[in-house]
Amino acid sequence: MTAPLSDAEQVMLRDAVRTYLAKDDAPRWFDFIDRLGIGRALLDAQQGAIIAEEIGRARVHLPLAEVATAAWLLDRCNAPVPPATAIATLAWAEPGLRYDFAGIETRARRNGDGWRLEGTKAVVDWATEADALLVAARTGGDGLSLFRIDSARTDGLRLSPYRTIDGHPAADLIFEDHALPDDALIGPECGALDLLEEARDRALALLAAEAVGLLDSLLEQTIAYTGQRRQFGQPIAGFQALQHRMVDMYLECELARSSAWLAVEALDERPAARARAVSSAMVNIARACRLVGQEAIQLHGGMGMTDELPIGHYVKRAMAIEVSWADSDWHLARIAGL
Amino acid sequence: MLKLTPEEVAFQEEVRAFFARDYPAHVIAKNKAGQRLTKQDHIDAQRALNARGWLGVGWPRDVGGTGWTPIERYIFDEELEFAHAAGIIPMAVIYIGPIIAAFGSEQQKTEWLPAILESRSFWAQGYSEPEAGSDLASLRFSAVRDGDDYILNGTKIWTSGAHWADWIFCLARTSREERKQQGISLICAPLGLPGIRVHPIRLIDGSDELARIEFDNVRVPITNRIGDEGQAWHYANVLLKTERLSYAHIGSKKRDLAALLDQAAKLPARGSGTMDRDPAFRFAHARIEARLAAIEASILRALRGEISMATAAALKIACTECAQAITGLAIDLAGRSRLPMLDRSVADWADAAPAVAPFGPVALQSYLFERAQTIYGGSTEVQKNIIWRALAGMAR
Ligand SMILES: Cc1cc2nc3c(=O)[nH]c(=O)nc-3n(C[C@H](O)[C@H](O)[C@H](O)COP(=O)(O)OP(=O)(O)OC[C@H]3O[C@@H](n4cnc5c(N)ncnc54)[C@H](O)[C@@H]3O)c2cc1C
Repeated sequence: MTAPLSDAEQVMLRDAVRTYLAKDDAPRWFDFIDRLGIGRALLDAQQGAIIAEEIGRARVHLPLAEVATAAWLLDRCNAPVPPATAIATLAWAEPGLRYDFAGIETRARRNGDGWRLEGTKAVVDWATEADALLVAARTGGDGLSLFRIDSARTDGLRLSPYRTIDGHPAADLIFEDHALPDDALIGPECGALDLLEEARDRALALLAAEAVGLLDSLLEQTIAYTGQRRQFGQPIAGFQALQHRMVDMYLECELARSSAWLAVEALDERPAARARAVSSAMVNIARACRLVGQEAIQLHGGMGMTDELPIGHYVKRAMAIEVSWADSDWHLARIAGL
Repeated sequence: MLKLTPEEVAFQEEVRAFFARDYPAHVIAKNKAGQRLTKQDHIDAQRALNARGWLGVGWPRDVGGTGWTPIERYIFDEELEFAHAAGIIPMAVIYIGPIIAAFGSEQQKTEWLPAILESRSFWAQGYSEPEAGSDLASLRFSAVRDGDDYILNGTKIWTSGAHWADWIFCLARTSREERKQQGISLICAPLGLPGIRVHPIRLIDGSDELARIEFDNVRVPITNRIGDEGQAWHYANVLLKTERLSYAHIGSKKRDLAALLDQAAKLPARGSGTMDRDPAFRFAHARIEARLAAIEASILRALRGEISMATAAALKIACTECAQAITGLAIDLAGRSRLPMLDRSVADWADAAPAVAPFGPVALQSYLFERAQTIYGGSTEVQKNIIWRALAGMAR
């Protein structure tokens, strides 16, 4: 692990990312990582969180959590990590499970020198753009293993591409007796479950940070809009009913920020403590995403419903973050030990 | 008394039988599948209702309306929604029809009303303007007399259904008066006239059925004005009185809640089993069901008596927030299945994401679109101001 950044270094990193994204509202992942020289920062949760928050604030499409999580997994498995400028993503979700990795049904069986993969993966973020796919699959008896597939467009892979609500590219993947070489297996055979759980928490910490940027911006945009929108001969920000609603948004934003810190700082704790902290954080983040998003639309009136203003796009990204890796009920169950 | 009388129960059965037997099945099938209806679908649906004499809901009998009591109207709405039939597009039938019937000229009644009932004309409502939303009375859209014509200028915005409409009814300022509610007239224009430009507005759910409409020196005969000059605010309020509960949609809320249980039975839950046995989901579902029961009782209570402004405002808030809560529960149930943003106009959109529960993308789009319920028709904040006016006396 790298040494933690000093306060000044954190500010420098944040400003560099913010400046870059202010100039380019449709950045490409390669350029973003390459020009800013932040490839190594992705491997550090604290630095990743700073970058994620700015990605949220600018509401740009970049696969930060996907790439960072895949890199962490590969590194943990002592597998070669592709350059940070490459896009890698983890395919775990399936139609037959909600959020529990234990429900994964995709199967890999040994076949001569290699493997055969069979199963369906649902809503794999960035799959269409990925240079490398990591696939979670059941092997042998009951254990989970990880497989690496270079380039999502491998022969025989059925891929249904679409955009998600946040405008990200995604796809459903269907593996039909898909042949993989022997070295596609990364990490210990049947030993991926704990790795996946930790990877989820790491991804969530980044998404929590991204949510902070999104929510801050939603509050800012709403305050600015109500200050300038006039009805009944005055700015609508003058109505106390709306002031209090914006204060409620602010309270949620502040708790969200604290929650993101909580999640990031818990990542190197023991699994139980880590899980409790990350889940506590995410319950609050999900609530904030829902409430701040709803209020932002309501306070914009008809304007809040249009696709032309940025706010709808911020709201939809926040709605995706709410359920990307797990939802509130899953987190509550994890906190309660159910 | 919240229970229906035997006569009302008989009427309810009659309506139910009609939707089961005499109503276009393809419309119901599409609605059930969450697909967007085409204009032709709505025409088919309206024709079936009209053939039975049931399209002019809220219209008096002498102009081809149903002449129903409020309870009968309520029963009809509920059965229509239970049946997954097409919601009646309100602009012509619900909003302007009754105003034409009450305040229109004989010529307007004999030309416009039959055209609505026979689905020959669709209408749009031109009230809101960029600078006049909640503060509607501050509208600036102008109508200036020129001989036997009005010249219309200004911008209307958030006009629903403009892409299908043949006509638009506009609130227009015909004179400047001391009170801003005075000097407003109700003037109708065919949307194909020279000088009218319709710009679709894309919404967050991906739909583009709203529009901004610009009027640049559009000429219409003064016979297109409904009622007297300067009286539109009064007419609008008269209508409000009869239409206060058109947002109730209790039937569709019950239907949607029931549908969520069906969906839940198909979705995997945490651990093992399906979501219909997930206690957290069931509690959230039951909480909304309990709320809805109280709202329905409130509506029935209101329908049996006089509805005050405050009651109507309170019910609008309760009904719309409940509808939003149901869409919130739906996206919670959908989980990751809500992530794909699919194009609902494509017939086989469910195939686009084969690994996703098909109801997820529909639930997501409903959630987004229904955010508007607490904005239009008098926002929640505006309704609360109305309610407070009724309570404020007690603070003195
Ligand atoms: C989907 C949709 C369909 C529509 N269809 C039509 C249509 O067919 N025809 C038509 O004419 N219009 C239509 N409308 C417009 C609708 O009536 C307006 O959006 C509504 O009146 C609110 O006005 P606004 O959008 O300008 O918001 P604003 O009035 O600017 O309101 C912005 C925010 O300020 C709040 N606010 C305003 N005044 C007060 C106050 N005094 N106290 C406290 N809070 C206040 C509001 O509640 C809201 O939260 C539609 C709107 C939508 C979203």
